[in-house]
Amino acid sequence: MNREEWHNNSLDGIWKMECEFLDQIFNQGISLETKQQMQFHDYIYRHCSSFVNNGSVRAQDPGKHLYESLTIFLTARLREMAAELETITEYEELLIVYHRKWQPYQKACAELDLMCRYFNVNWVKRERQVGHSNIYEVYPMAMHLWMEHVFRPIDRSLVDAIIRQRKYASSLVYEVLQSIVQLYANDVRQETTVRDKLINIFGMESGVLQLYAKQTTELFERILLTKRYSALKPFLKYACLAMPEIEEGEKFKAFLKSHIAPQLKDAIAKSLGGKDYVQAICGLRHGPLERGLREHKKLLFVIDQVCETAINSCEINSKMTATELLVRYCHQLMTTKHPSEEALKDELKRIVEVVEFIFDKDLFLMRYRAALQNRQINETSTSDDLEVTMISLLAKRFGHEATTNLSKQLEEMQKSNVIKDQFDSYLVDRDIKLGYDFRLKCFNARDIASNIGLILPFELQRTVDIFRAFFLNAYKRRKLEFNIQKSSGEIIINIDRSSPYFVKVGMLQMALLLQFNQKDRYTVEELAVSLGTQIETIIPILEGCIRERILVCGEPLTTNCTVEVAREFTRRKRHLNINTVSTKQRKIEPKYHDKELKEKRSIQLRCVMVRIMKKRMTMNHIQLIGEVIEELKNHFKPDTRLIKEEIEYLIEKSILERSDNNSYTYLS
Amino acid sequence: MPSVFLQLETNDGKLHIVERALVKQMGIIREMLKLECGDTTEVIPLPRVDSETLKLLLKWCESMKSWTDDAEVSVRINILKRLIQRSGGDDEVLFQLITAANYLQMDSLLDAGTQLLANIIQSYDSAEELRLRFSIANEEE
Repeated sequence: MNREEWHNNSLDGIWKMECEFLDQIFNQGISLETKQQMQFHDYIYRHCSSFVNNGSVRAQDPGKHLYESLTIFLTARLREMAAELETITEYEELLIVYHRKWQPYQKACAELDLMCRYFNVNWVKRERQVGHSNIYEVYPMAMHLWMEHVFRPIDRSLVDAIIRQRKYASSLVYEVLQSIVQLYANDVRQETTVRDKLINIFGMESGVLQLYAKQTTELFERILLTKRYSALKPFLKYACLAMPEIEEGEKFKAFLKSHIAPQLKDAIAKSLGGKDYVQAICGLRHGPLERGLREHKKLLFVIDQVCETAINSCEINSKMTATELLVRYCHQLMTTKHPSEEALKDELKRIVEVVEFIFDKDLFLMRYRAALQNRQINETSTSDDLEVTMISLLAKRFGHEATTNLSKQLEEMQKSNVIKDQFDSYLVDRDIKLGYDFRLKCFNARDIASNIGLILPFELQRTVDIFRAFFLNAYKRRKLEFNIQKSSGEIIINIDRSSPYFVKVGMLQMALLLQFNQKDRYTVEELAVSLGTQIETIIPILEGCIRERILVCGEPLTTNCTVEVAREFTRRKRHLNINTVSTKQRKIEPKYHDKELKEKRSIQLRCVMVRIMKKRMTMNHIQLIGEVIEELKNHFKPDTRLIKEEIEYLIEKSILERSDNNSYTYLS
Repeated sequence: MPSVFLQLETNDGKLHIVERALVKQMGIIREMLKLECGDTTEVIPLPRVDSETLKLLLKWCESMKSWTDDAEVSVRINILKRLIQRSGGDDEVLFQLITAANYLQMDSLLDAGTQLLANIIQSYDSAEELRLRFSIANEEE
């Protein structure tokens, strides 16, 4: 036989084997098992590509053979079904039989389409590229064939059946309607939208479309309430085509919101810390619900809206604001050892994702920086890599402008190390020994917190003087301040001769306890005088030491009572840490931050407004507010009241001027 | 709850146990998993892939996994080059990978592989050099 006949015979052979599987899917309605699926895929692969090396066969011919064979196979089945349907006269029976034929056909075609992926992605795509736009992928092709052979012949009777039966058999009618929507969605001619086609065929007054709308709404609500989110994607795919108001209108979005918001609120309330919190938000944003809604951006946006409200609401975050929670969580992550840095990087990415929703991003960045500085001073970071990663993640998301301070903080650490090395060589050169391990951190600060006056114990004072001499010699124009509050150290307590205790203390505690090197007991007033501080400052420290039973005092602490060393001080552990910052002191910092933040924000607002107005010269009030919010979105969300205040300020300074129609002009 | 691991059987009869997430990069298996509602403890046969090639494919999937953003073709090509070099640097390896990628519908690998081959072909100036490199018989003689 000649080549062409031989070629066709082999293709027919492959087709016969494919038919076995088609028979199983279509006639028997049994899904293919994994092995059979791979086998089928293999047949398709062979069918399309086995003649690649054969020069006489055009590359697209085998695929065409498959396409034609499939078409013939499906058409034959459909003609049978159509013949049966055409004989039915009774409305209800027509609907039932139609539906009974449609269900298995649709399922089988869906499966076939997935199995023919190789065919779809290669042959069909090529055909369409070449210009044969009447070739379709398997599923649309199957839908067209149904439309042509089954739907068209009986469409009038089917429509009548639907209109008549809609009150009596509404769920059946709805199923049939859904099938019709699918048919229209896959239709060859796409000039009229699905919605218009439905209107054309059913008319607005027949009540059919209203039935569809009602049933769709109910189904949507049911899916959400039962949380069967996997069913959401296929359902929405066709429903949105038939009812554009799902995406455009408010009803569905409102229901979605009312469904998700309490869930999120609950999850946040139950969360025991940063990890759960981040999981609650990210779980919602990447969970099955998101997967179901992924194709429908407007519905998806509702999820983000809910997250935004939840994260920034004071009442949901009543225990601790999201900012505080996340800063603490980051701190915890940075200071504990982790087996896998990769997993941690993923978690950091998720944290940044949550931060994106916070309105006051600049506050978060500020607090993060403070925590970072803390870690740097106390050398508690487990991994410098992680610190750098987090900062680069934040910079990537929020821009370099917002995160310069953070990056600078890292540089500060390096500079501090340089100074430390210089100081070390200074000491070596002059053969000075400090007598203890002096770990210096030297940071650039534009603002210095008010320092507590303190007379340092002479061991420390000596170091301070030496360092001051070195520093002012090396860096002539700078001012140097030792920050008492952030300084800490470790002292050795030798109450029990045989076993010393190593105790981590803050600077004030250290100064206080080192006093007891000279004498065993002091009055509170004496201590205050020798430390050069107020009595109010010392009392909390003393109370702390008394709590730790290092010192004892007979009566409650007043100015005149005596404090002495506890002779019976014992502890199970050798290494202690009593350097816990009292809550009173902690509150000083946030207030300080707030004031600075407010000023910074005012200035930022003014700059942004001037920049915008200079560009546009005139602008409407509402537009201006919109643009300002957009520009500052990586920093903070400005209050409209605040914006108004700044506008007033600019008008006062004759930079802006009010004009008619509620707009402003820039005065150059 | 679908299992985390899948079993793949190559044409030499060897069973490979692979993470589900990795295997999902293979188009045809991804589609099959969509249909599968039951548990996937069954063995998935891959009659046209041998163990060596599968191992390389899985290495590719691993490196693709860490690129969550779409890596540019040039980056992928570099990864591919390194992969091939580590396993012998043969042209044959590249061909095997491309064919397997086509069969299993791994678009990222297919793109990178074909682009790499195209780059190699373009780097030669004459038809003679091409024939030499790929051992193609001269049809005119």
